[in-house]
Amino acid sequence: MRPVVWIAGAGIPLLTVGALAGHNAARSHVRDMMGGVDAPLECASCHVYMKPDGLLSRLAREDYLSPRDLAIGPDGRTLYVVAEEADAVLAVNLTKGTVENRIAVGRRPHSIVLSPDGRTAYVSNGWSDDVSVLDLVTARVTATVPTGMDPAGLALGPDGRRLFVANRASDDISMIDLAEGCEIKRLAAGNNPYAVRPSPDGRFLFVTSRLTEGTTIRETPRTEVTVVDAAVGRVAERHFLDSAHLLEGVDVLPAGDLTLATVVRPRNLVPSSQVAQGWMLTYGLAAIRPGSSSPPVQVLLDDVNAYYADPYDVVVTPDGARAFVTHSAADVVTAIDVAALREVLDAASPDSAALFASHLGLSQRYVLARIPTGSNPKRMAVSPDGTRVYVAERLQDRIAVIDVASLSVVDHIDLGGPEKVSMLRLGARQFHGARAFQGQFSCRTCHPDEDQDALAWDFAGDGLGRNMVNSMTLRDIGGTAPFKWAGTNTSLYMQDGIRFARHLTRVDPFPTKELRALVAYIYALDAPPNRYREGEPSAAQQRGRALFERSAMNDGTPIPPEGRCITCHDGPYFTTREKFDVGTRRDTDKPGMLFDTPQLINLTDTDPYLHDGSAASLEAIWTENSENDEHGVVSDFNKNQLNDLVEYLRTLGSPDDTP
Amino acid sequence: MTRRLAILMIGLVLALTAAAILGAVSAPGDVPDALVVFTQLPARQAPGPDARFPEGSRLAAIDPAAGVEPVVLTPDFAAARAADVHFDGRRIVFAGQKQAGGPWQIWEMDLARGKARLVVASCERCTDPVYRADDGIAFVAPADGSGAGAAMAVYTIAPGALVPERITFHRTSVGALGLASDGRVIMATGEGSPADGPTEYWALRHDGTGAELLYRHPAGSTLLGRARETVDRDLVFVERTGDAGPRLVSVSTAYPETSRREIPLPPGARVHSVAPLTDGSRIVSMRGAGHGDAVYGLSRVVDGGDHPLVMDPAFHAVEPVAVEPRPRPLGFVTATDPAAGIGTFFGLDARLTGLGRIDSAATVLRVRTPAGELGEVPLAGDGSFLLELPPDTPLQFETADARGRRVRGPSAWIWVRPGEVRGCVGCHESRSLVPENRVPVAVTGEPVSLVPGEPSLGERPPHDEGGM
Repeated sequence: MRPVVWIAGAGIPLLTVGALAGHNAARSHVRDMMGGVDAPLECASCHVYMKPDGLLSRLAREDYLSPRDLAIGPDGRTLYVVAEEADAVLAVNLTKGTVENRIAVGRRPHSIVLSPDGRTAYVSNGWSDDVSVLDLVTARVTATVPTGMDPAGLALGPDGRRLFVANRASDDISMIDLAEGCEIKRLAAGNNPYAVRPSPDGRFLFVTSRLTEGTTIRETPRTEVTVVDAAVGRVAERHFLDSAHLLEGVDVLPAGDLTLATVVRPRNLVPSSQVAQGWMLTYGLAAIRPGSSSPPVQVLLDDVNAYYADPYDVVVTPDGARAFVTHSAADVVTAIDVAALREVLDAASPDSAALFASHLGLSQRYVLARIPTGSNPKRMAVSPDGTRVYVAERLQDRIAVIDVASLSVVDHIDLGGPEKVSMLRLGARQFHGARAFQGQFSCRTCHPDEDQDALAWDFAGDGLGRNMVNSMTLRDIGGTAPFKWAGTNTSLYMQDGIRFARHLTRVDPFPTKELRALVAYIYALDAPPNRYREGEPSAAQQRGRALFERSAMNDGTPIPPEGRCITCHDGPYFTTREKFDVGTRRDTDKPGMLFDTPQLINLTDTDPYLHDGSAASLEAIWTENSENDEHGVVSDFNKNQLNDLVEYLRTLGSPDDTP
Repeated sequence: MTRRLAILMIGLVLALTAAAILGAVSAPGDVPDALVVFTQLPARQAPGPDARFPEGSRLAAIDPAAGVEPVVLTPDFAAARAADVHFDGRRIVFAGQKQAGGPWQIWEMDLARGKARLVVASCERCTDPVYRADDGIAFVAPADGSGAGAAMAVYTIAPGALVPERITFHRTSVGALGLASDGRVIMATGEGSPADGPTEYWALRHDGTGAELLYRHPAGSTLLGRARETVDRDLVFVERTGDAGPRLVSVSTAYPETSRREIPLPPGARVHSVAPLTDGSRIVSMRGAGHGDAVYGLSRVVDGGDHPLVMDPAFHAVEPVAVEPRPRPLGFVTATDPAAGIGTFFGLDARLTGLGRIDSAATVLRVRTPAGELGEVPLAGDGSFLLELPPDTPLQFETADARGRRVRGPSAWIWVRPGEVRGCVGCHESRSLVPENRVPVAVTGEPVSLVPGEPSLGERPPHDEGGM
């Protein structure tokens, strides 16, 4: 017999056996690594999509622009666009519809405001903690002014000499003297202040907050709108919106008597047994009457059987006749008849306010049109003559142009981003799009900016009224599996696959490609810089670290390993990724339930704390929620030591974030 | 297959290809771009709405734009009717009887190939199929056997599955299925006697959960056939009130109570059934109105004007459906658990009966099955309640005051599926009303079990669903 026949005769069975063995080994490997698998996995699922810094992932990346905010020059000819992922501002010639300039600014720019003469722009840089001052004539950054932490919305004072900046992470408002080029005052705001808009005369600034005030578990959330008297630099009023949060857009009617803010109305206290009938979330507007003692009235923008998730911005035309709201998860702009809206608001009384805020049918009275847009519409700008509304389509790298008369998109301006939809961009679209029954919510609704919404939710899959869980940040969590407070989801494929569909969205799970893209997107999310670890650690931080790592009490009594912080909160993310009972289980939690050790990255951004959000502050973890030293031995701490520990905990940042 | 049939089939293939390429959407004209599939009934038969299994019926298709005669799609069947078109606009599913006297089963046909394949074989009298969003099929079959005259229930079968699952447990017969754009199955049912026909349209998920009333005429009209949803999310259907003739009606799925309007038809027209087209026009099966009274024909109706498409003195042309691609809704992941043995039902405030209306006297909730009263539970201080109930059983609710007198109810008959957790905002509440964000008092305690023989909570294994 010829050798080739021998080789084939022996080789084919060997290859078959080898292939079978390899297949079985691969299956075993997946089981070992992933714990349980309820999603279709391939080698790339883990070795590419979960490796954002891997060679293949880096090769596949595209440099998108991601327009978030925009402003129009006073002559209406130039549109300035904040390109968030490009760390730049784009100057768009509206006559030609082309980008004519690209000006580099700080990290993760967020918002832009122009001087009245249109010669200067101020851009907040979220991850640089400063404001870039742009000379629009020379297209150069002329100054950089430090602000509070994570600056977002901004506005000029009435004389144009002061700039007010909402600082998300430090919950305050920077007042900047533009002549001096420095911050001269800091005003206390609500939790996570975000959007800023002046009254028509510029005297008052309306600053919306995104997160609820310090409510505790099973309390109704309430969120603040801060009114700043910009002339004197003081907080003039604080309005609170019940059962509402994520107030991301605000505008004031030209008459100055009514301020509109976008709201998300969560039902986190109602067991999530269903989605239909607005059972989990609804979206609308809050109407605030400045100077009035009557509480703000909230009305919905949704309709029966149709929800318009994640409202992000509201703008009013100069004549006050029309308002427009972007719904960033529904890819829709809602057009509103302001006169009709006023009629509804005027009919509201304190007794009927709750009913108005819960009535899906009211929107029929004032919604004129639902205008489809590209992916993820964010901020808008109205042309000076009031005939056009420009919409930043963030995940489309495009500007939509809406004709106010016909209430339709009449043009698009391509900003020049990559045409290719990369895996990460596809994942971003899954994350920010409302794939839920009747479009009721997106991933982003509970994880704004991929972070957390500061609410504890009653997920019915764990029992009604049982196991309420605090939503968790998604930033830089790739190295922290397993997921979920109970640590039962061994991978994001499990977390965001069939379980997500069965218990939350109530529609088909993400198709395989989209699920992979979503996982890749989440794995690629970076944590923002830690603001507490600049330079050498302070003395308090050093003392806190010693307490964190200590093995003996103040009196020298040895602390057993299970009583030391460092035992469970070890490693690059300060978690051993194991489950423990630290005495925080409630009567309403599943008996015997253990909790996955949470990571401790950027703790100041992730309050409230513990699995059910019952600790409003880091201190409260031990002062109100720990008995018998079950959550680390701290009973011998004096007040200063607790403060030192907290000071140290605040400095814990991502391993990729070097001071 | 005859030579003529072959030629027409080739024509169908070409037309389908063109329709797919062009999207089959155009401005309304005299004839639609879409093919139309319909049921032909021998002229001697009365095409009543209760004729679910008519002898001699058959499916036919016509390409109105081509101006050719209808082609029979089911020449190899003894009888066939009730076609529904797949989202891709290339396939239909229908009820067919292969041999005279044989079972009525559910079949699927690739229109380009003209070949039918059996998709549900395991029932004797199946009909009214519709495609689910996931390519499964929902259909109607006898609830408790295959005998003629048995009450009908909705069954569904998942793609690739062999055994259908019953998903409705109404006390009365159901039928005339449709599919809403949000993926829910629409069915006709009601408390009226079988002779009167159904009086309500309901919507439910394809696992039988979340069943809710969509439409009921306040004067108790009889609903004739399927309700079909338009691109504007309106339901169109045929309705008969009292002695008046059938009328073509449209309601908004969001506001059915306040949006009912009658669609104008040519004077003297008597309508049988309707199919909306994606261009906003409708194919209507009707007779009279200058088309003769002998048989139902098909016309395209645009703004009250009609353009005859099919009129064959030998056959009624009924149950039209347009062969057009349409958006596929997102499907559902089932929330049922056959092993659960119970369903959970909780209400946020049983005293809430409408927008801002409170029955403050109500203190008790009673639950009834067709066999009698199942039990009653006191309402919590906020009007909430949390019950465990026998699954797949018709249930009726009513509130009562402290002296046991009925305050409101009884409700319509509903059910819970095993493992379903179903909630309601109030009793007979408006669907415009969303829940208030507060912890219902009832869920801070243990559920009340009204399941006969169900072990108490302490005896049950720990709940380990896992949740999110």
